[in-house]
Amino acid sequence: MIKRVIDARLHLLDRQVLDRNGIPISTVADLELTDVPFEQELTGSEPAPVIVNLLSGPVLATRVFGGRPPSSRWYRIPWNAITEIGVAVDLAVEGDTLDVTWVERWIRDRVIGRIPGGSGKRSASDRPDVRAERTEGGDT
Amino acid sequence: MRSRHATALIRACAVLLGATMVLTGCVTTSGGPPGELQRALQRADSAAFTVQVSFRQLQAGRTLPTTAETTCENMLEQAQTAQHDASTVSVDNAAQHVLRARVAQAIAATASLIVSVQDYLAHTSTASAHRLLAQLGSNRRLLAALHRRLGSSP
Amino acid sequence: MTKVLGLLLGLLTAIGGFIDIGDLVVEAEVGSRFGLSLAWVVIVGLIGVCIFVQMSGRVTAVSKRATFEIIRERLGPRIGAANLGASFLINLLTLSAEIGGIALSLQLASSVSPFLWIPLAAFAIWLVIWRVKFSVLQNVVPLFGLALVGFGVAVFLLSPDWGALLRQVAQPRVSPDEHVSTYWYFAVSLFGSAMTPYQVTFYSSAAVEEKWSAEQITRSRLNVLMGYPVGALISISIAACAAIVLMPHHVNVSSLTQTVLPVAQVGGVLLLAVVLVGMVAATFGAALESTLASGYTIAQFFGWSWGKFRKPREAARFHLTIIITLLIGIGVLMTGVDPVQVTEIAVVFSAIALPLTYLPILVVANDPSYMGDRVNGRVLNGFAMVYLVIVLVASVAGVPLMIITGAGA
Repeated sequence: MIKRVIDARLHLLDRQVLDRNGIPISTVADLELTDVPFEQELTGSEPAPVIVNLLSGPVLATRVFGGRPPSSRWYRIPWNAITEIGVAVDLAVEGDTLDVTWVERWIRDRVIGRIPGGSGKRSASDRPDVRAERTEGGDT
Repeated sequence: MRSRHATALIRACAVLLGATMVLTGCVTTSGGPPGELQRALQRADSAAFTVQVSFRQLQAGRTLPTTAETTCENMLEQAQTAQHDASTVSVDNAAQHVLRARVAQAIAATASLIVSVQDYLAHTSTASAHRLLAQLGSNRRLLAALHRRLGSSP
Repeated sequence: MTKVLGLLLGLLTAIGGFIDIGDLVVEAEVGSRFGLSLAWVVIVGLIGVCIFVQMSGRVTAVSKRATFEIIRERLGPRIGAANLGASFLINLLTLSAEIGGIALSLQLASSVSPFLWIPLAAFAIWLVIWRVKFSVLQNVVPLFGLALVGFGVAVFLLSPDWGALLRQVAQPRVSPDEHVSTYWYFAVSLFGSAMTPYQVTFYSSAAVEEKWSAEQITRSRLNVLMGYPVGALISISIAACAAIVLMPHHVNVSSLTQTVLPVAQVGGVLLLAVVLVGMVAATFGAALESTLASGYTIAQFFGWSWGKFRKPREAARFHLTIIITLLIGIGVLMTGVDPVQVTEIAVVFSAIALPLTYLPILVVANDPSYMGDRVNGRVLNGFAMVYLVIVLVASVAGVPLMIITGAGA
């Protein structure tokens, strides 16, 4: 594995996240790091903080307006799901399996999928060369 | 540091806004009440001219009836706006008061002529097209005369 | 043969796509008040939009990243969100103006109230976005917009004093009845109507929708460079018609009926009908593009799945955004506001907001980490810097001029 220095602010934050099929999932709104000891002198022997999750969702609003949402409202994308960090962040998993896509799935199943032509079975806008017909995403 | 920048920015904006306020109206209210009345007259004349031309085009078979009807509808709105503008000009003296009344009257005549043309197009009028066009022409002459008169008044 | 046909089609599309409600309203207004003395602004705007649109298309085709993804990445969430808000609002204004333009054009052809046409037009826009292939949507509609060549024909039929017209172009002069600041206000308006920001968003997203390769970038560049100037000529001929027929009578253009008045005068019913078809098509095409652009900007900023190359259910939030945007547009128009006035405001604010999209694209077009060895060349950067200054000046001058002149009243 080739080692590369990545600037979190430059190469991670606000990057587009794509799932294994190249479908846009979200952007990286923030990062979750492992804790460093809080309110005490650092001895220098503690392990350096490690990125555990990419965060998305309401976290974005706090980066714009300040503050910090409760961690129960974080949508996490595990660090080890990442396959590549380039002009976008590529994942090894299907977007539908991630919590962060629940709004997309909800709107898809409750709104867009119910409008005639929305499911795209006979859609004229379908371009078969883009990718094969995907199986119906399961309801949550 | 940042707050200093912010205050500087706010101050610059305030100065800019102030300067703008000073200059405000140097176009929209230029010429005082006579200028405002002139602009109302010009708006009414634009409407009268447009209806005149469109009506003539229709008589000559050069435009669609639907387009002529729409023209009358839009221009009637313009004439009404002009009439409203003219009658709400605040005048400085008795002479201007008289002029304002005459301007408003002339523009009201424009509006009612446009309505007459609309009636003609809807086949609900006995007036002749020739007569309507002549009336529009004389109304425009009246508007122009008032415009000149306002230009020479103090 | 098919290649030549494809080139021709692209060319005609670019011609038809240049003109929208902004040109139909503002050009006629300017022509009737200032003659052709503002034609130079159309030329300046034309060169600007050529540089800008093809740069954004190239950035997207090379980096595979759409404009608003890049804007967020480069500006961060805070300024990015402010940028998104401003761009979206102006887009909404433009969209409302275009839908209003469809309704007004249809009213001219039917004398049915625009209030009946507005919901129908919006529904038609949604249906096309929902069902019709992107390539059809992008090519066929603007093709009908080509009928606006009728304005050019009208100029010839009017057999004007060409020398006098050319003098107006070559030696711009403000007539004594008009204020100098009004002249500059309309200069900013025309600039904004030539360089509408939605075109940039649309064009760069189209590069993703159609999966452009390097060869296709060259072709699209050719289309833009050849098609837009013809579109600009048509745009100027709208002003010329008004200058020849309306200016001598001191007519202030306030509605589309006056825009088509000179056409009917010389061309009769036939030319009028042709031009009306062109007007409906041009505004419909622009409405499609600006509707899609509003979906693109939001989806790209938040990293949602977007695009017409996906089925609607695979870009659910994108399609929902489009539906909501259209509904807001209908709401704006149903308040009874005059679409012509919406247009006038939309073009000025387009000019004011131009730096928001222009600057990030210029920066990224020079960034090798996105563009590799296909960064801007020196000549292009030279032009781009000149335009950066023009864009900034127009942006800063927009609001003060609007207040001073009472929006050109």
